Amino acid sequence: MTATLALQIGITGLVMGLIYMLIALGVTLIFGIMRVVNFVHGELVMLSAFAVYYLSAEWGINFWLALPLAMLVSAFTGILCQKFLFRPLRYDILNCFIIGIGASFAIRSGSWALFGPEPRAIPALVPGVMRIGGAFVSQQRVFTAAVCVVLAVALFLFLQYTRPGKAMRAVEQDPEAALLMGINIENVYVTVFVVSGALAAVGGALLGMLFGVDPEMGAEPLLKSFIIVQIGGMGSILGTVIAGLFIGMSDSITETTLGGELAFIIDFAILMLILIVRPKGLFGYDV
Amino acid sequence: MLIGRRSIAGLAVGLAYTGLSSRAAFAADKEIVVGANVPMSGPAASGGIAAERALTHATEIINKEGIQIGPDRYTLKIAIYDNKYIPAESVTNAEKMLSEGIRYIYSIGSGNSVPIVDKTNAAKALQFSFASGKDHLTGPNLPLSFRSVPTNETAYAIYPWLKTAYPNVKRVAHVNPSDEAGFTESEDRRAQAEKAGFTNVANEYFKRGATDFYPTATRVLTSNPDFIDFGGSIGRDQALGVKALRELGYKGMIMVGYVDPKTFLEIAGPEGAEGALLSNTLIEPQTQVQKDLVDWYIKKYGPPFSAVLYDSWDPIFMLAEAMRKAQSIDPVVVAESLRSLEWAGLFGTMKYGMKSVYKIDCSMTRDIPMGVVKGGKSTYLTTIPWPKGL
Amino acid sequence: MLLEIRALAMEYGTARVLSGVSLNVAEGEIVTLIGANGAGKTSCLRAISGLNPTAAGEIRFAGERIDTIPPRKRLDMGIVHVPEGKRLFPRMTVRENLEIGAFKRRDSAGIAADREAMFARFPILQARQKQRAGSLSGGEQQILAFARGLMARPRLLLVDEPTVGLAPLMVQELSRTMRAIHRDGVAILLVEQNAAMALRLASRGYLLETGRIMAAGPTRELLANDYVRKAYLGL
Ligand SMILES: Nc1ncnc2c1ncn2[C@@H]1O[C@H](COP(=O)(O)OP(=O)(O)OP(=O)(O)O)[C@@H](O)[C@H]1O
Ligand SMILES: [Mg+2]
Repeated sequence: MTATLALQIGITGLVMGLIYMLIALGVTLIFGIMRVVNFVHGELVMLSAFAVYYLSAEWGINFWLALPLAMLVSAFTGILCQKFLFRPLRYDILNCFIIGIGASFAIRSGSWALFGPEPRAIPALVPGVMRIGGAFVSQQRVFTAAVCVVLAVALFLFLQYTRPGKAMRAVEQDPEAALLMGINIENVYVTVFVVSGALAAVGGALLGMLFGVDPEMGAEPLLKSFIIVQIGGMGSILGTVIAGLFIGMSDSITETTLGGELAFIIDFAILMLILIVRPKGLFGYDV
Repeated sequence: MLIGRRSIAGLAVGLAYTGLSSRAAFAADKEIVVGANVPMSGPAASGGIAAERALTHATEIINKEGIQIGPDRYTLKIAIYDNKYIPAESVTNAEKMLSEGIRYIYSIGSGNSVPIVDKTNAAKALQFSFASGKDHLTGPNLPLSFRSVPTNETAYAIYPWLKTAYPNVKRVAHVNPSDEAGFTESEDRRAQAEKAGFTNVANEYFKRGATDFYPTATRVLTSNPDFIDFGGSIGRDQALGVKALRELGYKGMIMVGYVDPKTFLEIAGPEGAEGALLSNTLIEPQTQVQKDLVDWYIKKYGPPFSAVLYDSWDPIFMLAEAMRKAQSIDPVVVAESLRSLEWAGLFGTMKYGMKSVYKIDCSMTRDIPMGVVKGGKSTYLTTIPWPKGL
Repeated sequence: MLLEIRALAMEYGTARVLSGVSLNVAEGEIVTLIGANGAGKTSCLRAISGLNPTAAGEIRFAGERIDTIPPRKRLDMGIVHVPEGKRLFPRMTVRENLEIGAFKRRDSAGIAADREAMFARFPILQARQKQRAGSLSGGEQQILAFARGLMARPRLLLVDEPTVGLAPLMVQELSRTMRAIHRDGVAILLVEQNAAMALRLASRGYLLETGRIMAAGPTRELLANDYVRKAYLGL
């Protein structure tokens, strides 16, 4: 393998890892705090991408206005899921999982009917290609990677230093004790879905600019997210960041050197290994 | 949602096959159900939805006149069976259709068409496949299997043309999805390219519906090709593949197919798409029929128009015409009638042929329209005539 | 009366764990609730702070019915529960645990002052303020649980078995702390298995057995009661 090829693999992996991380953060946040595996998250990504597409590409609204609107739509859809899917099931992990899969398929089928068969694309914000050593990367990807880093840091700061962030961590670590501190758990759950939905919306817009928009676009990133969240330890933000980068890199290596089919198999093999050695994932803890 | 339609379909076929109502001259039209085994969800849903829309509209037009056979007037009805682009689902669909008495089947996708073709032929049902395929989908042992769109077969026309049109091209690479369709396309195109005198440097595969194409593109480029054929890739996948190749600095030629030009440009971006050959692709509607079709679509579903729709248009008209000519609705009889039918369709004269390759006339032959992306716009390039004697 | 419980009953599913419990705590008073394992002491406190619903009876605080309002409203009224097993937030720092104790308060100056007061009263917390709560020793954790409760400015502190597993020296220190809190005018309802310590600290006591109050009165009388001496003081 030449140095250029290695560099290319590294750059590709870093960018994809950061994108997967962004989607996975929304999943791990909800799991950590509510012990709910949110299967609908991928559909939030997809619906937000369509929202941004229609608002900006079709109706000519400025992207920077379209994005927050899409974040609102996504956050609102998240709240609907929380109120009408997960709360009635009392956040039971298995029931939520099953109903989530059902809802996800329903949303996807409905989207095919609604949006039609042709995939769309959100125009790139930063066109052009960058050369690093002998390797190439589009400016849009560099921009995307930067946004992912900024959002991960913002999420960390939010959880660490703001009042709602602290309430989230308290509920995550001991819901009953949080109740005794006067924290309104239902409100915290709503905040969690809002934050997670907003992250999904940004993820959808970024994915839509790089890879086009169609009703299936959330499926693969969501599957990757589950692998990442498992490897990192369900609910661990740090674990999700590290596992996201790790899976992005490992995918880039296997897909480039061995071919695309193998990436998922290798992902699952890594997951199996890690779960055997550390059943709670790299940074998981007892719940 | 489909259950209701299916049972109605079964009922209708039951009616069509009992001689009961044929006595009365004033009897209502009899319905022939065409079961559409197509992906309405999953990674290939775009093709299935476009096909459903084309088939449904085509039958509406056919049914205005009806299919007069002796004293009876028949109409066609499309019943949709979603195969999700999963072979096992497709088999279930086929079993259901056959048990419901359906004897005309329209199937999309190789992985969905190959595993059912033995069953449909054994049940004396006529199967149209919009699918890549070779002997396992077409041959004298499968007399009721028709390939309604030239797929990998376009390579028979395109590579000889390429040799004369672009004499500088030497090293050809193939990029395909890692499934039945992709493997078939890859193999056949490689064979035709080598026969035309090109050096084959790579046959690469990606997972259908994959998110990122940088790895696949990086991999292809290590073989140093100067012509990359996206073969059996469809829609978004190949647009993303092309975009990735260009971003990674590839300067050689690219050919895509099974694509809507507008969508391709939108997703690959103007820089990515520039110079790409659009094989077997109608750029803009040329004839009145094509224009009407686009107008109807935009009016009914809104933009964008899906050019994949053209391919699911003519086969159903040809079926109706073959029935009229044969004066029969028996699939075995209709099949022979279909084999000898010459049809003036969207792509000019269309005929089931390729006996020289498959030992039976069963694969669509017609001229191949070629487009190219030039100055950020897709434009008509040429029409490659179907090679004589195939 | 600050806290008045009348004929309280409580159930987990179909299992009744409290019946006919009546109990009072006056403003600024220390009252203890003693009983063997499984008697229902914790359940009683959970009913008061609102973690579990009641099945019958009523709970009043400062004259108002509180048994149907959510825990956070009871907290607003001044009922603070320092639960069994401490229930700290283990992956938050000592300082963060104190801050979250004051979650419902909005006076940031007052909160900061209270935090400094806690640090002055419990120097060990100041020394460990940046450490994760989960990494403290059992005694330190119990102190932090107390301090976290005090950060909410209670009128009534419900304390559930604070001395379990602590060294005698630590038990003494906690007794002193509770006296100090009491001197500040806070009423305390103390649940204890260490009856000797609890009866010395409190002015009145209740004896709970299998969900019923078996004896009640000034601690002097209970300490003199033969049954209590035999069964709970091992004398
Ligand atoms: N969540 C629960 N579900 C069902 N039963 C419970 C639950 N919690 C406690 N119990 C039962 O209720 C009864 C009273 O329990 P409680 O915890 O109130 O006793 P306690 O007096 O605090 O005991 P200890 O001194 O051991 O803490 C016990 O029989 C216990 O088994
Ligand atoms: Mg207890």
